[in-house]
Amino acid sequence: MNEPTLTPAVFHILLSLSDQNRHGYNIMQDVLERTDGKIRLSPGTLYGTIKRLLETELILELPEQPDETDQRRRYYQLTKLGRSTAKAEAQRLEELVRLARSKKLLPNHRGTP
Amino acid sequence: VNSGHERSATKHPLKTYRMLLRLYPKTFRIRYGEQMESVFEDGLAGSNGTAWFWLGTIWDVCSHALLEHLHLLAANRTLTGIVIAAISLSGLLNIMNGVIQPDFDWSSGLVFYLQAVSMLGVFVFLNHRRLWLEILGLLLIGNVYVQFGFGVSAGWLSLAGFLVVVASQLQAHQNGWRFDALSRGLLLWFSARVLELAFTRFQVMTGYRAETPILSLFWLLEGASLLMLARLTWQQSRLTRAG
Repeated sequence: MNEPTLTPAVFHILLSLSDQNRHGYNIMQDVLERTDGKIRLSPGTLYGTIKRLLETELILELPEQPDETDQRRRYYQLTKLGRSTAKAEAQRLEELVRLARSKKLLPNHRGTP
Repeated sequence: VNSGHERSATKHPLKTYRMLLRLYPKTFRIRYGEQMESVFEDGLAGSNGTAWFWLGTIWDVCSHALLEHLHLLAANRTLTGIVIAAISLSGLLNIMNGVIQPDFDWSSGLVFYLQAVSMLGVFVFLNHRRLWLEILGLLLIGNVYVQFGFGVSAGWLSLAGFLVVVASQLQAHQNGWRFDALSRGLLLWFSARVLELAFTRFQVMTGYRAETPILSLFWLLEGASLLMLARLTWQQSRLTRAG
């Protein structure tokens, strides 16, 4: 049986935490910038997803908070399991893109129309 | 659109948002409430609190709060088990009644059963407080039906209802669900409806034809129950504001 696919919100949050630890609003801003404003995570989506990522141990909450400006902020970090899950999903997507190229749904070289 | 409510929301944005967050399950609110408030304030600063921002915020909280309640309900295996067991038990006892009693009225039995099951479902989602009143209400419904010949299955349904109300009460206690006024109002409406059904059955059994004023009394009772629902909901919102 195939691995279950990740929802876009889950994948984007994992991607966001793959290069550095971030707090909620920072994750939202990162996703917004990275997708050129196409994906805007709402607080409800963000914290609902964070809750499930914590339960499945794909991310963890840092015990010490580096941000001193707002004590309410909590920082999150990708776990080993989270990193390998994101990697597996990226490989799955890459394989899909390769298939789409072979069916000429996408150009063979980046930038070629 | 710049209504009075919106002006009040923009005057005390964090207070308003905090009130909205009360729709979330208590456990979720305790864990993520402050973080969400922080994100809300950051978002508010970036948007200048436009009407679109508020509409999006209200939609976001309402839809995701409901999702979190559903997640919790699905995760509570004890509650789900009790609900399934209670409904299966009452269904089984209905079938047994049908087998034992040759003149068992299957069609009205099915209608009553479906109504009771829907009511129990509503309780599971909406119930919060006034446990004893609700138990008394359910026992009363069961007893009225027992008196009018449709009794044994109604009695068992009452018992099933009792179990579900207890289970949903425990669930609601854990999660701080706020819509108890709605559940109480629905119970009142359902009680009035069942009384009307019981009276109709009484007429069929005895051959007695009620005068229009008597039937109007039941409609009046149902109308009053709905008004009570509106009043309780208003009281609840006042209490929420005060709290």
